[in-house]
Amino acid sequence: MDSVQGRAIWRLVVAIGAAGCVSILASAAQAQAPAANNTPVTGTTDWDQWKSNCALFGDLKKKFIPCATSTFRSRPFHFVAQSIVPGSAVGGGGRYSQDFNENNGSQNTLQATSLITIRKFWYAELKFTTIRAITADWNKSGESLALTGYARNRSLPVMTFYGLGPNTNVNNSVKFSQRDTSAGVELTTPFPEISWLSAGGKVEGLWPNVAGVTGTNVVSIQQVYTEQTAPGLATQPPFAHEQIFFRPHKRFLERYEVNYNLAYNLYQDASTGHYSFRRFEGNFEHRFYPEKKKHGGVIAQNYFSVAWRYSVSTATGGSAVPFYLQETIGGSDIDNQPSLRAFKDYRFRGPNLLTVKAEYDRKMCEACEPCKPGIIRTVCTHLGLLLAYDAGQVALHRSDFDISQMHQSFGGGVSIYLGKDVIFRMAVALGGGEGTHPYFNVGNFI
Amino acid sequence: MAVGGTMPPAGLDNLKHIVVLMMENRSFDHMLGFAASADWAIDGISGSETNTDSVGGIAQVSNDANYAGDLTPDPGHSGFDTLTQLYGDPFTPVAKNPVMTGFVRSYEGKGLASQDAHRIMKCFSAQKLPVLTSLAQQFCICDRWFSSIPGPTFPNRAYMHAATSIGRVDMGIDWRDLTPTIYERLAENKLDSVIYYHDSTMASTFNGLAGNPDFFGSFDDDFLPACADNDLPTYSFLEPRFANSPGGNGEPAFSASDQHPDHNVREGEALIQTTFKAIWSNPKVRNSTLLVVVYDEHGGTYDHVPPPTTINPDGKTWINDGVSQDPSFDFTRLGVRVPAVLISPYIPPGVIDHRVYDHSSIIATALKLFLPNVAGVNLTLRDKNANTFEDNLTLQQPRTDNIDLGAGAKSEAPTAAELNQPINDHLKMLVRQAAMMAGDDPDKVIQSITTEAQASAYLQSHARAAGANH
Repeated sequence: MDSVQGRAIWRLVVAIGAAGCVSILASAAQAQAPAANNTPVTGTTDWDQWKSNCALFGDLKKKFIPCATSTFRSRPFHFVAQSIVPGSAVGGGGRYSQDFNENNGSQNTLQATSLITIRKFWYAELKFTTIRAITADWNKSGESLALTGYARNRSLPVMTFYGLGPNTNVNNSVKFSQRDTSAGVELTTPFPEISWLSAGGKVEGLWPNVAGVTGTNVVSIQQVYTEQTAPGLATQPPFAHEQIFFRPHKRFLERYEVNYNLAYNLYQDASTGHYSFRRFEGNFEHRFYPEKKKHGGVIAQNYFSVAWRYSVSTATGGSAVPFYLQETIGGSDIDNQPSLRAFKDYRFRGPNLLTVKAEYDRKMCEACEPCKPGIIRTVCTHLGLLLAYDAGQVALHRSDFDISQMHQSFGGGVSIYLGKDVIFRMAVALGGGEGTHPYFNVGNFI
Repeated sequence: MAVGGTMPPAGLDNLKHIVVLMMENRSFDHMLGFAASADWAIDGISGSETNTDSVGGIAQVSNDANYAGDLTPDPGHSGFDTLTQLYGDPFTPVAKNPVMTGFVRSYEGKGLASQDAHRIMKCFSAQKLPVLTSLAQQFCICDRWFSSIPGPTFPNRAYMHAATSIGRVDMGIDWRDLTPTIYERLAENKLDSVIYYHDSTMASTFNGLAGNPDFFGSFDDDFLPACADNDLPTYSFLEPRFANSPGGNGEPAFSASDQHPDHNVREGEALIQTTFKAIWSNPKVRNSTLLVVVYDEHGGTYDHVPPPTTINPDGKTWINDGVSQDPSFDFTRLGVRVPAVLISPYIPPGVIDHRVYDHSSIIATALKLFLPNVAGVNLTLRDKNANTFEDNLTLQQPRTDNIDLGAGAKSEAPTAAELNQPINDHLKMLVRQAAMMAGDDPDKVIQSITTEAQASAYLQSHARAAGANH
């Protein structure tokens, strides 16, 4: 995310603040209106709570955090403020969530989200999730079965492409637009008899659409690249995507945690078959929690983590992996996961990828709840530090990986917490040989 | 096996931790009375105990209590209600011996028809409470443990924290002046204590604790790991979950586990089981910990044993101001009997302790064990004069036998009906307390909160807003 986007964030903050003021005034006016009678208010808790937390009267300093919490977490509706993909800038929207709890202990949630950013990227999703407890003896982990069905659409009007492979030039970027529609179901279940393993699968349909862009001082992708140098540029067929995954995960000796994800993917070109390919992904994250609460558990927000990611794609029989489904490193990837933060977003793209990411996250102060915190502790409990080291490489062929040639970057920054969640990260990274790159990440405010 | 003598305790050298789990609002007879037998000679009920309703109908105790559904509306347990239950007439001088005849008529006062009010005499069969009954039978049951005052939750819990309710019998939300507490006394002597809670604790209002996070922790995120890691403080107080929570927002649904009427009693069984297993599964913790499971007060449910007299803790008295319904009270009569179970591997199976205890006995025992040579350590006259129970730990070697909890209990998510049920008076006061601590207007907040789900959401959002880790 560049400095233009940084300014855009502040513009959005101001806009949200102004909207909030209007709401606050409206709320205050309503609060001061005489009640028709003395019957209790029977509106939803969250709505009444929002009015209470964000009303203009009272101690505004004390109400800032509760008001923000209510605004971005109330149910069934709350506002969202987040980016969609790197380069989209931050946007605003809303989310409606409806919970349906059943007597057998299952939790069902229907969620609808829509969001548009100040750069006119937009995103819409309808998702239904059911979580069901498994009480059978074979479930050694006690985890639940989760089934999610979803349909989503996102429009990404300006994306950056530097070419394929590890040796592209940062000054030779072009632009393209991308529109993704997908719908599918995903199932995750504890693995029988093994407490540290879950498994599952996903089946989805993908309907990608890629096109050039127009505008002054913009080089559109078709002006530089062809189907040979950017496979998939000519046509974008619908895909059937099937995935199976295994997720070993375990916390041991209380302070150590491993989270692995091994996935095998099959992308089937539903039209001609020319773009069908297979992908194996491995993610291996190790966490160490150095700090414990006195007479309590670990402080979950303070940890060192080292994560390896390995992804290889194979297209056989003259097929090609379309460029828009290839892996990227640099800044953050299309799923907003940071990688090589000293480089621009999507800086390197290829069918194969190897990355290493090391991070130290630390929340400045432990929360004091249900105590009465002072101003210093209130501020302190919402601030965190981040130190990060990244290394990574993309490769056109698996045999091209060369660890000695991996790009590297390091940096640091601050995080802002709302409760236990990081809602905003701001960091500066360098060391990649392409200058200093500011890094922003707006967390999902769910 | 009955004790009461002065047998020198044996396992005490190894005792490093006391853990107190305080449940809500059930009397001794209601929970354990029907478990009495020739083999387990607790002071239970014979089955012929009765009360009379206002039209002369006879209500007899029965062992068919249900986990939930019997006690809506919430039976009365204020000072007025409890004295009604003890004497029939709430304005009877408490110097007189109670007769335990007013339970049904008190429940009728909640708007019930006479016959419906007979439900207050329902008690549990032992089979329905496998966890509590098994632990009571396999360790030590105290069958003369009385709530500290004939009244509601907050003043009784105040005795648990400070051996006094500072002259109060009411459910007012502001307990900032309750000091010194046992936590402060231990801290003065460099000993740690933590209140582990789920969704709320009245201790959040205590001036002596507020502002110091070391005094507070989460049951799930802190107590359970502390057990696994052998890192318990000297003294732990455990609060159950007070509200049914719908979950969502990435969090699972939880049922209230406090057993307050009309919450599902089985959820409390599951909490007791979880607590016991957390301690028992780590041998180092098991062999150094005394677990006390006790109920704060009777909640209006029937018990046949008249509470005895006691000592005023601090010279303070409750004076009826003409506004409160609660009669004046001098704190010289204990409240209704409640279940209390002592659990340690140094306690042999089947111990029945018939001595008189109230909640300040826990404070007295803890101070006696952990600060034996400190002068003036007691908090009030009540704990100074209370019986202590450490001499039930009589074994020279810790037990290693398997503890059978029978069918056990498993927590389940609340039903829609449970989430939508009106909140009880206690939960109402906890919400008001949270509002007070957040700087909101408690009267205004409570107007908009009518269901368990709403109350839970309010309590959780205030924990989130404060940046809690749980």
